[in-house]
Amino acid sequence: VTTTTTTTTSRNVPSDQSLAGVTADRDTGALFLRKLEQARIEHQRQAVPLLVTSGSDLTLSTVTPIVESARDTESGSTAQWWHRRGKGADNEAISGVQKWEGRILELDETIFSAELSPLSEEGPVLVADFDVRLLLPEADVSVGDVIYVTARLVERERGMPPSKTVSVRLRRMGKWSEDEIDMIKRRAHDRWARLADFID
Amino acid sequence: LLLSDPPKSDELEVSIFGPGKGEAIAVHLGGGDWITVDSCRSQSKGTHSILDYFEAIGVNIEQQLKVVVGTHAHDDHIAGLGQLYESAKNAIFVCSAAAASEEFLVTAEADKSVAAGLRSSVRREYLRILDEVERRGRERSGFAPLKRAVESLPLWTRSSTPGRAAAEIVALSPSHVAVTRAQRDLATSALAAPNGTKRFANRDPNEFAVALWVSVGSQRILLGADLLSGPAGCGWQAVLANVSVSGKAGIFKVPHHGSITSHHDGVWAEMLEVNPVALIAPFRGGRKHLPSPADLARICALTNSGYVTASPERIAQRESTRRISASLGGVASNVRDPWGTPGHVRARKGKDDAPWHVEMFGPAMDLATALKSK
Repeated sequence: VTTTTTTTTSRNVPSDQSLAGVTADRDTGALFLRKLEQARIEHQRQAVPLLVTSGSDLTLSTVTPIVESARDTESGSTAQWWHRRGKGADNEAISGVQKWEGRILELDETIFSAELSPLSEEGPVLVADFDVRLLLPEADVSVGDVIYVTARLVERERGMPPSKTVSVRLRRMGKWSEDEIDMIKRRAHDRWARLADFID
Repeated sequence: LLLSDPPKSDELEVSIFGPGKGEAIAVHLGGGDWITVDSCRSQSKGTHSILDYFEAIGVNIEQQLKVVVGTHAHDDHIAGLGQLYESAKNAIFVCSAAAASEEFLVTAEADKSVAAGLRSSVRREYLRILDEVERRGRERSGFAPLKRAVESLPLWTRSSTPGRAAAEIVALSPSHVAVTRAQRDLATSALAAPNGTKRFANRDPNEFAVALWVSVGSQRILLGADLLSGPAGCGWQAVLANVSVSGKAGIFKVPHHGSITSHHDGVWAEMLEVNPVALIAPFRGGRKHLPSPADLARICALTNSGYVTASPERIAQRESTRRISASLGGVASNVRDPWGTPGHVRARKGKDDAPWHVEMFGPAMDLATALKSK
């Protein structure tokens, strides 16, 4: 089932209209829609700086729904949000992208800290703090989980200054299969058997 | 003295480096024999603190480095440990008995599987070392390069010869209880999450860290790793209850970056001389830095010879960090390079009745100065 998201720029909280483009079926799709709705309600209730959208070019049938939060960092306003995909909305073009892979080091009720390694170019490994609500409505977030952080520079209409958009996405690793568990245990057992000869 | 001046043959040395990615200790046992504990890599320069230092003072790592210790599997202690062990071609590798177990290897193999296609990894460094242990063991018949540390176990000994005192390294931890607990937890943590979700290991291995008691002639050195004070049957509580050591140490690598979670009054009363040299590498990777001002005050009240390899405070950020912080502004806060340039505190001691002579390099400072700057 392909997730279709609107390509129209919206500077408001995700609306029913903006969700209308999402198509899904069966349980997975229903769950995803419930999460979108839950995030929208949460946003309205708390004025949380959140936008929940499907990841671009992903399908619900192959990937557990990905939660992405984005914020227009130019304005600094918590009320202005992007909701778009791919190359951006009409009259806009993404002119620069920086990406990081992060591993969550600390997590509490309000903040998580992640160690960020650059993916798009050489650069320092850094640690940064994020509002844990950026990963809502994912309840099952834990230390050790992996996130992706993407900063995009977006050129807008002539005469308009470029804007920046930052997104934070939780990588879903999937679940262990029985075959994988068996293979991991076998490898560990074999390695342990080999090491046994070399332990003093 | 210059940094590059090596210790005399009859001098003891304890050097502590950090905080790069990790902290590290190098100990000269006299007679040209060295051991290292954990590892430290400068994130900004990509250099290896111990390898660079050994090169600077002319240590032949292949021949003179006898023991490489990995106290526990936290990545603020093991960055670059594989590279160090591969360079020390005749050294044994010591790790916690809980980390050299089939249960731990399951977590390592699971992490390896999770890390496929990712830059992140938790156990990668350990697998690299164990690969080297296997290779070394296969190449040299009768050589057992892996030692599983558990309380009271002698790890390395040296008989006295003319001009060189007898030396012994004994593991103070983990306790048998800690190993049992760790193996039980490891067995259930990697693959048996309630919902079967893949993720990196998330156990706190401080419980089964390896603390060391080093004896050279009549001198004693206590290296505390990140060993916690408890829980019951574990940590410093277990060390004090279960392990018998002779004498008191005049120099102390304070455990867990000076944190209160690793403090035990009994250690200071029963295992340390009055006013010992206390060495700390700070931890700035978390939101709470260690040692905290309260930690500094507590340790300064226990000794006036405390040293820290760098300020525990947040460091000035480089331009590249500031640029990234600006790029992430509005979503990420407190964007930081927590590692900075590693500092180095070097303590040397000649004759038995001579005091420890302490030198500081780079951002290192004494604890009183660190406390005043708060």
